[in-house]
Amino acid sequence: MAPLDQKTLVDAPSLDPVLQPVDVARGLPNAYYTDDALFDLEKRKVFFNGWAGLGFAHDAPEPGDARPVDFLGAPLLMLRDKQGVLRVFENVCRHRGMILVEEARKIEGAVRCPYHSWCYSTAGKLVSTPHVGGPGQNLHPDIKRDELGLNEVRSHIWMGVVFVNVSGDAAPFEEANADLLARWAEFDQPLHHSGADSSFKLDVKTNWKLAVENYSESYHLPWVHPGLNSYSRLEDHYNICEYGKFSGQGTLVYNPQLSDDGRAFPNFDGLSEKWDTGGEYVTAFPNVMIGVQRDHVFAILLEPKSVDHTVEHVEILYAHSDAMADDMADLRAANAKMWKEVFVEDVFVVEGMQKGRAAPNFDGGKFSPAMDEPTHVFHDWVARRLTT
Amino acid sequence: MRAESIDDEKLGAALIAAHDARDGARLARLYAMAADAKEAGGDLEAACFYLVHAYVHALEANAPESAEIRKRLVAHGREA
Ligand code: FES
Ligand SMILES: [Fe+2]
Repeated sequence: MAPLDQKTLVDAPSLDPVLQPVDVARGLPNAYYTDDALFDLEKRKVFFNGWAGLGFAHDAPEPGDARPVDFLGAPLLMLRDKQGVLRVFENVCRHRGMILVEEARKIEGAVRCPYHSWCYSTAGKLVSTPHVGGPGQNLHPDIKRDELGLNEVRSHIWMGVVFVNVSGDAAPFEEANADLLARWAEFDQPLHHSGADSSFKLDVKTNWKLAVENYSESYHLPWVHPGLNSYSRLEDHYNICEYGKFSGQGTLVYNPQLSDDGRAFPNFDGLSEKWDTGGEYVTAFPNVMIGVQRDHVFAILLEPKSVDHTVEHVEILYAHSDAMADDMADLRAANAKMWKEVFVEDVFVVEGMQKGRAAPNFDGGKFSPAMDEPTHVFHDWVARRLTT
Repeated sequence: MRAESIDDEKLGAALIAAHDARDGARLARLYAMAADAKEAGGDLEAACFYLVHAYVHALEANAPESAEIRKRLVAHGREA
């Protein structure tokens, strides 16, 4: 694999201008948004070799729930066992490599491969191998069941998101993301998901990175989101720049008015004063954009479909089970509507920037050192991952 | 389970219907009945063949008789 990677990179535009300090750096060259070979390289180096978002824990909420997920072409399976433990496996039989589960469903007992009916428990163990030793004989000395369980993919749940490390050799999630976990330790509390009224998807004709870049900065707020009023004042925002780790922006004026009658969502327990009117919007690199506020969080999981096509999966999660009550349904709907409007307003810019990457002489773009540093932090991270 | 019996022709039709309906619990019962018939007729190989199918469908459907079927297969050295 290494020689292939090197060849792709040798042919690709240089990343050196990207790796300069922000005041002189350029953005990632066009090819990193348009070239299939680089997209494939990115898939392995940026997504598979580290931790990346796969889905949400509530995608498989009940014991026995199985949900197949295409993860950049890799067939994976989220499977919650009878004890309620959620694991991720390759969705592939250990016998002849048949796909095991075609669509999301409940596994009553065992996962039976549709080809020769080898059976796996919901915890991934191989439990029966029919006729494997000949007709009517389920045993054979060379079929060692304890070595033939489903291939498990390392996974970790944080902020309701299921992260996976496909290569299996990244540092543990808590270590790889230690600083972000510490920054938001106060939000490490149970989260509550109300279902369809707090969940939506946007299908966007853009490279996934442009969604991250747009999310990272507050520079565009007054222009693209004028309706946000108090949220959109630049002076109420600050940059979050942690080189090699994460980036984004924060607001000092989070103060939602979702109802006229003064009802509001309950807050997380024990938050410090900073969060009374604070909100932070950070990308857990590469593909999970998270927002935290005193009464709810949201996560936008970017699913790259191809080099220029991305699905944004948006899920809102509440601080308190009281926010799940029926008489809060109108507030939840208003909150989801508010965020959806914001994210839809961003679509034309991420699609427009994608189109802009076809301009042969565009050089990646010139950053404002004052306003664009979070985007540069992301580029720096991507460029380092691609070249190591 | 052993009280119910079935001839080969009826069994074939019932199996196809259960396959079409994706009724795993029913498949497990039908194959177990077929196994019973073969075992009663002294044909252990054919009985085990059917028991294997009964077991797989019972496992998949989480049918309560899977433990009992497994015991029978284990007794004949066919399952672990
Ligand atoms: S491929 Fe799954 S049992 Fe043969
Ligand atoms: Fe925006």
